Amino acid sequence: MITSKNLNKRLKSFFGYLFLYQRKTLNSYRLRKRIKKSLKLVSKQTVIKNDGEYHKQVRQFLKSNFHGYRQIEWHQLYYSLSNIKSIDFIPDEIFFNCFELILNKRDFAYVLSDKISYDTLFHKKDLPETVFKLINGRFYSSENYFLEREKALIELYNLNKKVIIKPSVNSGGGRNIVVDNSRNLCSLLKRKEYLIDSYIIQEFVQQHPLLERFHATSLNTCRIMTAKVDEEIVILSAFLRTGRDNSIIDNGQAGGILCGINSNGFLGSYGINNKFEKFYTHPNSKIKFAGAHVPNYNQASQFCIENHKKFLRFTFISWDIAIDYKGNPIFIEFNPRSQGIHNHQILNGPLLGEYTSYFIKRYHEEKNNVLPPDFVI
Amino acid sequence: MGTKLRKIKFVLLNKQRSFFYRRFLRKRIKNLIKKIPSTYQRLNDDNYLKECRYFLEKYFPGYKNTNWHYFYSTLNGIKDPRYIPEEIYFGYLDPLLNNYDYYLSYMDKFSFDLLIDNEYIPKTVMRITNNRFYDGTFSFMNFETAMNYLGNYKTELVIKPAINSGSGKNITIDEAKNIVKLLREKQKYKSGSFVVQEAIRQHPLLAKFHPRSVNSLRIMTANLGEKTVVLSSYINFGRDNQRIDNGAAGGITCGIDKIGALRKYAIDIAMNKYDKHPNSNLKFEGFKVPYFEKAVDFCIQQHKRFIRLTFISWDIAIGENDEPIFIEMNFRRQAIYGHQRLNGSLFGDYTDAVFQKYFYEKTKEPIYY
Repeated sequence: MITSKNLNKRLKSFFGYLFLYQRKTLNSYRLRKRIKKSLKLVSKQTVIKNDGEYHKQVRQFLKSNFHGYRQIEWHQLYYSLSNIKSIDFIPDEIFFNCFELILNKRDFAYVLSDKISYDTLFHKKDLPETVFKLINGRFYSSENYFLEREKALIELYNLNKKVIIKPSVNSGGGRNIVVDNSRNLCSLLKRKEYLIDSYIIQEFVQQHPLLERFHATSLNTCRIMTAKVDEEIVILSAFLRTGRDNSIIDNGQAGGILCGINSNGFLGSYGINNKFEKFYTHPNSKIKFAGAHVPNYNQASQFCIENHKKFLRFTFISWDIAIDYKGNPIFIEFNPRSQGIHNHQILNGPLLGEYTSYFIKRYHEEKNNVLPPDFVI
Repeated sequence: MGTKLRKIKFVLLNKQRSFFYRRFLRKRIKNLIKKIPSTYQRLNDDNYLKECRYFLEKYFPGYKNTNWHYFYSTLNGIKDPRYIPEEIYFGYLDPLLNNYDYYLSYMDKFSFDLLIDNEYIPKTVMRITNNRFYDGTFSFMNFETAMNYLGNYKTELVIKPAINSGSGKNITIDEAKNIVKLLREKQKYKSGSFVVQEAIRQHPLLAKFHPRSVNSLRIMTANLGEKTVVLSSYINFGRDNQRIDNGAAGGITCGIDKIGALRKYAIDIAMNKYDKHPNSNLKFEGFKVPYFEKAVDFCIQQHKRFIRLTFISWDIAIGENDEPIFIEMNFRRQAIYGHQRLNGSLFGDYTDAVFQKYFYEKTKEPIYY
């Protein structure tokens, strides 16, 4: 019988399972489309390698561990681009549907991935200087005090510095990000969209000259992926993102060029873009990737490790870290949900590496308690 | 497709919620009125009820039910037309002004250390998720070392679920030895997430009323855009040697006025009045909560960190060292019933400001997660 409490509970679990199912099917639908497209793009650049013996091993590995999954296209792609013949590559579909969905409790991530609350989670010296927070058309200072609109605009005009304005949630792929002098921003803020959603206005980080020389107009950041393995936090893989053709965003989807970083902070020999073209030098500045290094990479990776410890609900986190002109790591954002992994695997080889069997074990342990104890309603 | 589905979920759940509250809270208030003990003098004032109807018509055209007003003013004797009926609070104000999607991340006791100033939180001894043990500094421990570490504690410890510990559910306060025994033997601690903290030592003046339980303050603050204010506050006392002070767990509650003095009467869950604590026989009237201003300042300062939320209810204890201690914060379905039956209208002089914010936010499109 449907009673009041009963109805509420039923609706909760109904939506819980509906969203789980929707996420899974949507992920696999989207990713299957993407792999077909990607393989077409790759075939224009290099020959796609076919190795019967290798495929057999891969199929066996996937089938035995992931409920009879048998798509080998992802392995084909990674093998032909990175020249590493390993069965430990993780297909994107498996990563999203098996590892991330279950080992990262994404319902806990809403606030934590909100840029407005970053100053409560991290130390202020590790963040870019916040100028204002803009919530539903109301201005707040960096100390969360309310400011009247006209006063705030005058302050912004007087600041006269290069600033960046970005949405506090869902700014993935460089969506709605504007970089400009703060004087020009005053007129922009009158637009309708800035009266509705919430945004954060920060000073543009002055980056380290060693990174700036690749591409000066964009902030070139390191993408570092960390994982929690019971007793310690490990760094799985990292790459550097540089902008291209005077863009303000270094993102791969926005046409940027990505280059792998090894554990000592040195760059790999080549970079790739989202069309899987290989570059041995940066196309704009003509600087060689091989031999270059990220300054103070150790400090940056240590920062990620220290901070991942605090987030017990997330097993995988992707961090965007910039290096400022003094060499200090500056935290830009972190992604506990829908983090891309194919760039990591193309540039640095198998993502999970020696921890593959550990994470497969964890997945099988925890796959049954997917829903949070109290689904949000 | 994802965002479309989320939009549908949002609209559907909102409809369901307001329908649910309209229908079932109307029943609840009828039952509550029936249960009022005969010692209370019944209210019989048509002019007052007319004023109430006028107030409701102003902000919620079409809503005419004055039962809540009747109930509250009978209990506390304050005739104020600005009482907020629960249907309106839970059905409309709360879901719009406090985004429920934030519930899990903010209510998670694992993230309290990140969100609140650390010196005001009781020391975390152990965090447990799915049978993995992490100590206060987030370093991993295996089962046996964790048990040894806990067993060496000489003070009392509290173990509680990291989420969903409302009205004292599944909370155990005991000596370290017995907590270790529980963790070894009980099956329910083998999965799910729990926090082990040091037990709070409360201020001796508050302990006098009922020493077995931590007698905590419940302070409700509101962020009205320009400023953050305290709306209302009351105090929970434990009773009959229980460890938990919660009203639903059998405790009694007493209102606190703006300067921190207790009101004349306290009330228990069956609405019986007490002018002194039934166990210790201490009078409520004339008692001033020690360091109440500090606690209020603390709440207002901490609310600044949560600009996304409008209403927050804080559970605060006053410690031995005269500093406020943060126990928990609530922002989803926080009990406004407790505030209004003790202190009068919830929003009081801020009624206009709250509704101004409500109508302002109503024109904006919410974030669909």
